[in-house]
Amino acid sequence: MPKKDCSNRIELMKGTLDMLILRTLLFGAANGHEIAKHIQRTTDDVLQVEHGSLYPALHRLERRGWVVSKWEIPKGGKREFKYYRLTPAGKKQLTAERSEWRRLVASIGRVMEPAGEG
Amino acid sequence: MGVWRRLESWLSWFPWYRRRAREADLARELRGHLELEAEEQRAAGLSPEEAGHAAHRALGNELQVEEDVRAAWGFVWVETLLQDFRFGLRMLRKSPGFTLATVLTLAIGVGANTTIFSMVDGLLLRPLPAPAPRELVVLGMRQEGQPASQLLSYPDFRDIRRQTTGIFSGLVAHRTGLDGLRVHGRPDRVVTNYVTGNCFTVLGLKPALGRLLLPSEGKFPGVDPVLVLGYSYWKVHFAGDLNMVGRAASIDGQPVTIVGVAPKKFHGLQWPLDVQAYLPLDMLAREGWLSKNFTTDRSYRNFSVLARLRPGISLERAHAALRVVAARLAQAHPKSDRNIQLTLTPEILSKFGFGAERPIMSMAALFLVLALVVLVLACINVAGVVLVRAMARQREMALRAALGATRFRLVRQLVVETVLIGLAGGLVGVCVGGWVAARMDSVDLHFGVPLSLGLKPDWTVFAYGLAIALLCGLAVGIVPAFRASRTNLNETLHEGGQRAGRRQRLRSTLVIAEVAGSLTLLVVAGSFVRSMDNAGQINLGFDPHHVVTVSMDPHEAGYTDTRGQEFYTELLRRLRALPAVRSASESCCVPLGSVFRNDQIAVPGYQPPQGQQMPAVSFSNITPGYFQTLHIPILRGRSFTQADDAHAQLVAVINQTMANTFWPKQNPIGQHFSRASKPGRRIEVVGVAKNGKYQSIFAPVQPYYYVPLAQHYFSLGTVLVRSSLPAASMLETLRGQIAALAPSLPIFGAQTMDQSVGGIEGLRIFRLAAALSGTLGFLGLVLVVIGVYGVVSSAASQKTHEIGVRMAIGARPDQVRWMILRQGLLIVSIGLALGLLLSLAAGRVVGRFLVGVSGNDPFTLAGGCVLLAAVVLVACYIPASRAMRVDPATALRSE
Repeated sequence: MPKKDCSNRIELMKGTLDMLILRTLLFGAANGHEIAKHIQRTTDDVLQVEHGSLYPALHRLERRGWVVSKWEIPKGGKREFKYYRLTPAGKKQLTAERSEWRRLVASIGRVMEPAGEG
Repeated sequence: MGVWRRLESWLSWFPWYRRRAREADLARELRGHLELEAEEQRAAGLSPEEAGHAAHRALGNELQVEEDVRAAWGFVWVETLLQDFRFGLRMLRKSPGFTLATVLTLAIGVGANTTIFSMVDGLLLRPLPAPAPRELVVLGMRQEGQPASQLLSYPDFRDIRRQTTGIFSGLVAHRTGLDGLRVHGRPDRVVTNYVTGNCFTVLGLKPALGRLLLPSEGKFPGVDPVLVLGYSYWKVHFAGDLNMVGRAASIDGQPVTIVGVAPKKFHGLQWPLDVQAYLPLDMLAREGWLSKNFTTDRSYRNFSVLARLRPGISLERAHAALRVVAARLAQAHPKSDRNIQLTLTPEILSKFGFGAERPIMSMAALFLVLALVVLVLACINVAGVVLVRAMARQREMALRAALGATRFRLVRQLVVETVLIGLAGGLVGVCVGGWVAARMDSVDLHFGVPLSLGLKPDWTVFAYGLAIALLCGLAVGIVPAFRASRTNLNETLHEGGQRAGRRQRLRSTLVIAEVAGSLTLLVVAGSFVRSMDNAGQINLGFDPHHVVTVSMDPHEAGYTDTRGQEFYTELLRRLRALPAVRSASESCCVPLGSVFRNDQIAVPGYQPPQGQQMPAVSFSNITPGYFQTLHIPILRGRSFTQADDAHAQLVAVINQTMANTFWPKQNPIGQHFSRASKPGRRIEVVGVAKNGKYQSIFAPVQPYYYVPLAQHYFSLGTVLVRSSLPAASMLETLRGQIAALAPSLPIFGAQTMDQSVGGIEGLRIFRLAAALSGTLGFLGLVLVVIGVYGVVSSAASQKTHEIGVRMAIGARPDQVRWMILRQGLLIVSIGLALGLLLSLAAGRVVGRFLVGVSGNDPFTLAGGCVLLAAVVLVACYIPASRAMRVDPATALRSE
């Protein structure tokens, strides 16, 4: 595996991880490892999720009732892994966080790249 | 989601729920992650070993991850709190001496408070056991020139009820009686409540058995001869017989049917009596008990009225409505109801008088405060010990801080320990206090009728006790904890004498407060004890020694007036014939007993002050020989003789106050007056008796008069016998004589006159106050001795090094002793000075409850100071003398 270029990595903002997890789970159930990989892959390794920080977040989301977990054997697999699944409440939360996120991005964007500048 | 799943998800909020399973689950999840990661790394070409390392690197610090996940489970602080508790328990177990001393000290404080609180709670804070008790109020009335009263006339009650239907959802008139209830065999004397039929409906009570009275009952005399038994009477007297309902019985010879049993918690409407039977009000309309026209006579005020406010009606609104009703009554019936005012008191406050005068309330508050002082003293002692211990553990604290413990956790650790001590002390104290209160509840007050004082502690008492114990635990821990946790490793390790001095100053200040509090307790106790002594020497106006009494009511056996009168005459004749009997007589009302009669009187030539009615004067129906039996001197004129019978001129003997009130500066002998209830009958004054105590030992002497029983028969009476026999055997003889004459007559109140004097209307309350305050004073003294001893001896041991130096350079042992003693003296003098100020303030409150001694009596104050100073100095002298014997060589080597 090639060495990662550390300068390209971005620290996750607080609370953003939760949103990313919820978004990832929108595609269907996933275990912790799959979630981590998915986030890494889709961001071309720019967002580096420390695997350790994933689990406290998952357990926190579960306690809030946004995800549920279940031990399952993946298709073609032999061993059980803990799979997380989005709940209706989690979906609603994701929508809320996403619109919040859009507003944030839009406002930052207006500051950083004012329309006149282009 | 199934019920189980729902429960499970709810339970999972608790971090300790299925803890092991969760931990295993997490471990397995993380293991799974590591394996997947390692597989991936292997697929990317790393060796298995390298792949494992890379996976671990990617995950980060595993222990940290687990900790963070646990934090996500929530309630981490509960976990650590439990750890603190476990650690605290271990520490307490390691020093059993410290634990025992502090727990017992707090137990004293909590125990005293629990006892006093359970009395206050039982006496004052418990409403009638009915739903929505806050809606219940007691009506009363006031009329110019008359003391406020909680008794109304029946016609007034009826009018009020008719005119306030929008305010009250129901009004109940009731009256308490003593009657002979006969179910089989001999009648039993019972306390009864005569109530309007709506009583139980208004209260909202459910029967324990059968049914209660119905609103339709009690309206017409003699139509509803039914009776409801009181619960405890049914349980005890009839062994809870389920077949009692429907039984035929008789009350004072009149047939009635038992229809049910009242609920268990309900003890009747006349606190503190434990009512044994409930009857419709109309059953009162029978011979001898009530004036026949009680339903129409507005000046015949003999009924208590309880009412229930409609939901949402405020007291103010009810007051306003009653003002209107009162004005209407005054206008429609100027003769009896002129200027009448109707009053309203919440039921819970109505037990002890009305209006602003509730001495028992301030008495209760006073004792609660005294008990709190004891608790504060206990807390100060414990705090002192805890402080020393906490300072001794500063190295431990510093170490824990160095290992990463926050200040909060250090403080919490120490506070948890004292809270544990507080809880243990509270538990012991509550048990002891509850036991004492339960014992006091069962004390025989020689009242002659069953009482339900409600002193038995209930859950509120236990909750109160534990709550204050918890608070104490927090209070005694918090200051030492903050002090000890102010850690600075460097400073702790190089601690010099300066810090020790500061801690000593804190302890000394606490002990000064202790001395002051203790002095106040002692002075209050001394005042109550002196007051009790004085009360014991109060001139009763009669001689209670060697007199026994037995009460009875021939009506209860169904006797007519004539037969009753014959019975009394014959009984007294037989008693007087006995050789040991010096004198025997009969009277309806015995001084300091439970029966009183009064009636308005009219005196020719006497004008009551403007706007006032003629006063009601108490009286007693007596037989000749009464004055002789009780050694009451006749100051003028004569006492009664056998010649003063039904055919002779009506006569009376009056007391000095009555003579001075109605015939000032005149010779009262030969004057006349008449009773309002029998206006045409002129009564001639033939003698003046010496003043005495009648109704209660505290009441000032009121006008009082005596009339011969032969001229005014009253069935309920007490036989008094003065004899040379011991009380027990005289009572036995007396019982035998009554049983021989009237086998079916129930008797009660068989006791000595001394017992009546010591009873609830007599000295009992003084003895109780003295005993309670004395106990509190003693506990305070014990605590202050322990406190002073502790602070002086720890000061001495801290100065061991200094003492060694001083002695080495030539100080004499007595100089060393003086050095230590001086500190004790300083504490005591400042404490006493503060205590005197506090005592003077307390004395102003206490003074209201004292007889023949002021609250700021100089002898009591001086006595308290001397006693306290002496005891405390002994407590200082012991450690001072020990310091004197210090061997300089050892002392110098000790540090």
